[in-house]
Amino acid sequence: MTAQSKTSQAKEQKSGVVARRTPPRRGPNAPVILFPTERSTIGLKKIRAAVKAVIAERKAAESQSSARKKQ
Amino acid sequence: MSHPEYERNVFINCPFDSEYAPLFEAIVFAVQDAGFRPKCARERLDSSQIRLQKIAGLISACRYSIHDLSRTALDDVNLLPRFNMPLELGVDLGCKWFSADHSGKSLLIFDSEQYRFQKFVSDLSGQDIHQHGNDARVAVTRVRDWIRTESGSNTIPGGAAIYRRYEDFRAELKGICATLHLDVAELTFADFSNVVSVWLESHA
Repeated sequence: MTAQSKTSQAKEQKSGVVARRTPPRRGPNAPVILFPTERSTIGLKKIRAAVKAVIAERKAAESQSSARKKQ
Repeated sequence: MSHPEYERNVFINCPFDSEYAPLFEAIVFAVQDAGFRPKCARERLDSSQIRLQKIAGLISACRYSIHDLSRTALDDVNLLPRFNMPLELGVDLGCKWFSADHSGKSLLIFDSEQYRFQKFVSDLSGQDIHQHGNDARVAVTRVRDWIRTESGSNTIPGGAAIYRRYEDFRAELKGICATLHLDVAELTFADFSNVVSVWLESHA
C-alpha cells in the first residue's frame, strides 16, 4: 500500500467515514484500496511485479498492433 | 465497535466448490472495487480453531454480510441438504438482533429462485431475498446496489462498470498467475484478494 493511501485510510478510520470511490481514480480523492488483513502465501512484492509485467506485456502488444494497423 | 475495520468489512457466506468459484470471485472483486474488504471462512487456515468459532469471529468483525443459499440442495451421496450457509445466516441474524453493537448490520441474502427458500427455511418469509440466477454479472450488480444503498456512499461505480473491470481483470489473471508460477485454481482466498487489490491499485 502506498504511503498516501495509508494516510487517507487512517484519516477515514479516525473520522468513521466509509471508503469512497470518487472519480478521478488518481490524486487525493482516489479511492482507498483495501488489502486483506490475512497473510497471503505470495508476497505483495511478487504480486506487484507480476501485475506490472502483465500490464507491460499487454501495452507492448497493443502498441505493436496499432503500429501494424498504421502501416 | 471493537473491530477497527468493522464498517468496511463484508463477510461472504457461500459454497466453496469449483462450480461456485466464478460467482464467488466476481463477488469478491465487486466488494473490493467498491472500496470494501471481503472476508470469508477460507481466509484463515488455522486448524486449531473451531470452525464455527472462526465464523462467529468473522461475523462479529463485519458490518456487511452476503449469504448465498442458492446451493442448499440434496447432495447425491447422503440425500441430505448442505446446511452450513443457512446456519451461518442464523448466527449473523442472531448477532444483529441480540447485540446492540451490531444492530446496524446489513445482510444481502441470495437464493437461486424467487420463493425457493420458503420450502426449506420458511421462517425467512418476509425477508428480502435476491436472485442472481447463477450469473456473475447479475451478482456483481446486486452486490454493488446493496453496498451503495446500505453504506450511503454515492461514489461507487455502477454494476456494469464494475463488471467490465472484472472482465479486464480476468483477462489478465491467467498471465499474472503464470508469472507467479501458479494455477488460477491454486490461489488461496488471501492470495486472490491480494491480486485483486494490487490489480485495482495498478488500474486506478
